[in-house]
Amino acid sequence: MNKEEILELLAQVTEKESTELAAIPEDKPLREFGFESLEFIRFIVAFEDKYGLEIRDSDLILARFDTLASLYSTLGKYFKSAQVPKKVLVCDCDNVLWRGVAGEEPIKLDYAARSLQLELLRLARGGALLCLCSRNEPGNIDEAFDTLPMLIEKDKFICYRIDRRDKAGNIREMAQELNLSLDSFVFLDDSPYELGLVNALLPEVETVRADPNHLSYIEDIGNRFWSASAQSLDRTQLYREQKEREKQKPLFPSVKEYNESLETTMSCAAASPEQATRLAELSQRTNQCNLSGNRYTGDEIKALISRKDFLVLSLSVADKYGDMGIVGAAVVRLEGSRAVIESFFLSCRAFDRGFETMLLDEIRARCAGQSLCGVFVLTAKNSRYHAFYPDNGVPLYE
Amino acid sequence: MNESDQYEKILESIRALANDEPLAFDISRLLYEHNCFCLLSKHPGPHAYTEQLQADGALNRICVRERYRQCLPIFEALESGGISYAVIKGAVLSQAAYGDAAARRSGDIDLLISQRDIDEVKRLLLNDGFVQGRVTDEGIVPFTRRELLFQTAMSHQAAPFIKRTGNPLCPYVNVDVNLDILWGESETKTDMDFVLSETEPVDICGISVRKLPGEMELIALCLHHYKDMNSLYLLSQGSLKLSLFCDLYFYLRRSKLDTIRLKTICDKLKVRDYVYYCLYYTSRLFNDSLFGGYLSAVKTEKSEGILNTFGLAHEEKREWSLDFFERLFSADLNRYLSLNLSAADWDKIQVNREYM
Repeated sequence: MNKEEILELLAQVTEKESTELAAIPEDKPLREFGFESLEFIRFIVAFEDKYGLEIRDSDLILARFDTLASLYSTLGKYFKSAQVPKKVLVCDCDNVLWRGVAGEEPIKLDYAARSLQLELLRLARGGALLCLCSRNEPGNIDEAFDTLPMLIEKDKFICYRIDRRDKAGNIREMAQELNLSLDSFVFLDDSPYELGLVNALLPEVETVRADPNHLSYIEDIGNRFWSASAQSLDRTQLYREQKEREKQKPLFPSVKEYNESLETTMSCAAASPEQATRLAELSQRTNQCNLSGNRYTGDEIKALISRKDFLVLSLSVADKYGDMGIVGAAVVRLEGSRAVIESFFLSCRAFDRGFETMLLDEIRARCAGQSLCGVFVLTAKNSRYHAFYPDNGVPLYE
Repeated sequence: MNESDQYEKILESIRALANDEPLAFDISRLLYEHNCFCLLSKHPGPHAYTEQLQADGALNRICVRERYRQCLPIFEALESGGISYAVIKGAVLSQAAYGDAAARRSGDIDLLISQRDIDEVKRLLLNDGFVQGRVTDEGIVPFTRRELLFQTAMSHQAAPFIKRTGNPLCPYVNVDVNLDILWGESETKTDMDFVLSETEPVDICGISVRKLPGEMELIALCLHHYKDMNSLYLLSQGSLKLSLFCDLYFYLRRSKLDTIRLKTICDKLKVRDYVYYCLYYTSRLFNDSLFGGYLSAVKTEKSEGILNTFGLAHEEKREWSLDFFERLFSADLNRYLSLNLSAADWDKIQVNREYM
């Protein structure tokens, strides 16, 4: 979708010429050009119908449609699904989470800091992972969390690096620790130097400057992450449990023994329509073990589940550290004597525990008697799994 | 007795009731029609509404308890999720103004939240079994997408959330999610993070919820009632009631508010004139010295300018040609409006009737 498409639709709804609309300065209030509130409602209805999506209530204030610039900005968010979704926000502390430098001067929570903390809480509820990265002393940061009336507690941050080392190196370490790629990271800092350093050394990481005089950066951060509306998982807790599991791993010589020690239970079954939202989310979030690079919406998954010529499987796992929920899925197209694995996903939280083989075994069992092949499309992220099908005796789909 | 004398008698009676003084004039019907149940309960009886008042009061108490019980999971989820909210109007106002959560009639629970939290609050409510719709003889009928869009975009609140309770005396609970303390037509939006920055706990029927602190609560109440006193659509629905002024008066009588803080917050929100408007007319009704400090604190050079006017949006604002008491107590306000509103005004009212 581009500006021309928006203008075209607006022209249809308002019965104006799109060339006439294009001549309106983007920052001028549209009502000065004769647009009425009801026309915006009609426009939103037409927009939703045309693109098959639903505008979130948080965007449904007319101010967001007041100018062409705000119209483009608000609606543009709904077409970002092709971009890599952001999962992790790395946040500086001094002059970002609070005003002032802890340990050096009196610090306080001003309006900007409170607003940011509210946004961080909202992001965490929506599944974003929060990390801290500061060059201050750990004791000063702890004292700030203990003494300020913080809206967000320190345990909301899944990991932190509070030391004198450069922040680019620390962010790289945190990416390894979380087993997430750097292009799913956003770095928030008030210092142009730190932001510039991360830009230079980690170009995959998106950077945002925390400017207390221009709070639009807070909304800017929110727009880079997934909406909370479809989420039900406490992702911070899931990753925290994952860290506990990782600590156990070196103690066991085999994956089987490791799984047994964790009291792992696994369930692999045909997906139900109620799981569609989570399966769609898994397809959208999974990069490394997404063998075909496919992404789905909830409605698309529901449609596939209802079709007799498709098999949609979901893999759920639990162990003594907690319920990991649905961590894997597959979409198989049934073509008479042949079954084609069109999509195969496994969450990075579930890597190296043999779950991908279990999911493949389940596909084999359900497609017994059919020749099986798998679709692999190399993406920037999934090269680790390029030989997965051949290594497991499944020919690649030609 | 001419109308002016009659209004004077009504005023005397209202003031006498408010101050627990003897009453010389029966105003029970007027109080009932103006939803002034708290004053009506002080009215010497028996009168035509005595039994009705007792029955309605008992039912209202049951409904308040049921509503809060049904919404307990929502309050807990908001609290545990760190979502800033305040319950406004309804039972919380009733407790603050009249000392009893069930003294003032209400039909719903009003949550005030920040616009940024609406998606999550909506998810909480829908997951808890609420539906955005209206109650009909056939049960809850969900709103169409167009209705939902209209209500959310054009007003200061999301379309109502309704849930069946299983209690035959209170079969449905209705939650209104307010996203601003100003009205939908307002060209400015309130800084809701500021409004919700200092909520405080209050116990309603044994359930702890968050409310706004005194000064902010008064401002939110004034802005809500200002809308009822000024919206063309609401005026056409009979919104100008004595109960609006009773709420404000009894709220102030029971509260100890800091006038400097009140002024500071009003300045920050740029709402001094609206607050003045509401307090000014309340003071005219009740003629109590307690108003002096508040009126002085919030009055600006422009405050007098919006007195005796109605209409919310700048372009629809116009002067009343009726005296305040006449428009409040006259039975002919609708006739007055029908003669004084333009065709465009009625078109707008019709659109609101269709979608709201």
